[in-house]
Amino acid sequence: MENTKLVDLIAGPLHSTENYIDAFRSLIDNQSAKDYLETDILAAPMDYPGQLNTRHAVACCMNNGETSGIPKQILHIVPMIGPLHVSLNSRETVFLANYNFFDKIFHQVYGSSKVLAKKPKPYRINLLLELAFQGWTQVRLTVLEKFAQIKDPEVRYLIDLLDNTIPLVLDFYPIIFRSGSWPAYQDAMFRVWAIFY
Amino acid sequence: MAGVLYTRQRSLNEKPILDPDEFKKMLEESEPALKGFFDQLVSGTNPQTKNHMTNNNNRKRLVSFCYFLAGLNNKFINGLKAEVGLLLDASGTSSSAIETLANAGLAVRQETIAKHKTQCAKTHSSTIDDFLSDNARNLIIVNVDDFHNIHTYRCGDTTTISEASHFITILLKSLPESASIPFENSDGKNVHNEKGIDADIIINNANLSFFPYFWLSYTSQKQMFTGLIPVSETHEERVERLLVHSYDDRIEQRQVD
Repeated sequence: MENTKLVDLIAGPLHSTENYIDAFRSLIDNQSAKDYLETDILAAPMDYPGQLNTRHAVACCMNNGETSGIPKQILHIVPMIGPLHVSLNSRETVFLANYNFFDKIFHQVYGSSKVLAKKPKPYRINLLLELAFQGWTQVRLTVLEKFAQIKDPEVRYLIDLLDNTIPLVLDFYPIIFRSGSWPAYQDAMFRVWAIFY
Repeated sequence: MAGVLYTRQRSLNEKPILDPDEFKKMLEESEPALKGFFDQLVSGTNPQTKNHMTNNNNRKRLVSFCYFLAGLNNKFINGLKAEVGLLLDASGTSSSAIETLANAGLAVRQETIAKHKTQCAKTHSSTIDDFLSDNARNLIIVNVDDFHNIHTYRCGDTTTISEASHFITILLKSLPESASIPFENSDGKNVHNEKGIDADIIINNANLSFFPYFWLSYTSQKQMFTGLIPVSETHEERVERLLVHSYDDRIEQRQVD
């Protein structure tokens, strides 16, 4: 928490671009913040709606200039998607997209009488992803060798899931991002992006 | 003792010390005549007959006792009582309840709390100013996110179903080790691409840097990154990284602390 300051805590929703502009306005109205933004930029890692709405505001300000009614300092705020949100959302997406697969693992491990929630808590998603990953590392080489030539879509999909997608979403934030290596982060980000589309 | 605590609070503007060891050290350093005073108080609690946990708790309570005792000598030593008052106020205690506790000498009066709060609000903007001018040459990260006060037990009453409120939090974090990023480079171009999202750049980069290796699975690709990212990890690290997204138990831990 060192070097961190809470600028403001405003009661109100944060749903639309206008809400975001208002939130930034309360920061920009501060004279010393204005001075800082005169020459420099503020980097803003945000969740998905956050960066989308801020990007909207920036684009609107760039295209319409003064007439948009958006303070021009907003151009000095550079929104980007935060790695933590990418990690959380990608884990959930991967889990939900392959729900039937994880449902099977869950019942194998915990018994058939237990019920897996339609949208489980993050810790449970993490646990099942990790179980799948650990299991896969034990059989990986043998399976890859045996199925190297098979072109059956189901097999390829399963191998892609176990060897590509699951380890990627597990590693994305805690290993790749925290390692501080830009090339590795770039590559992983592109791969996560490819999962979403 | 009252003299020492008074100087600390009123002349030096310091917050009350709550850690027993630090408190004892501070007391003995500022007033040699008080050497052994705190230990005497501790021995007065009959520590031989109690277990370690109870003794530790008693030592902590004796610190507050010292503050209250000094407060009887000089009413301007109210640092601890002010903290108690602020806590009561923040947790939604009614003013009459606070007033009763103030009469019992356990907290400060409602007016003092209000005064303290305005003071905090006033100094807040200057804190932000100081922070920004201190970090004028450093990279600053801004976080804007919504916050809902849902991490407590909730139950509806006769008039409301949910009392969860929405807040916008704005946080600034400076990185003293990195220089700030200028808005315009030396050619007068700014950080934003005029075209917005530029498809050409994306396609170019994807073709050059990503597609040549994209057929590799992530696990195989990871092996190429050896040296860039750490490979082995201990059991603790592994558990820690699996808990990255589990805020609930961390919040619970905070509440226990």
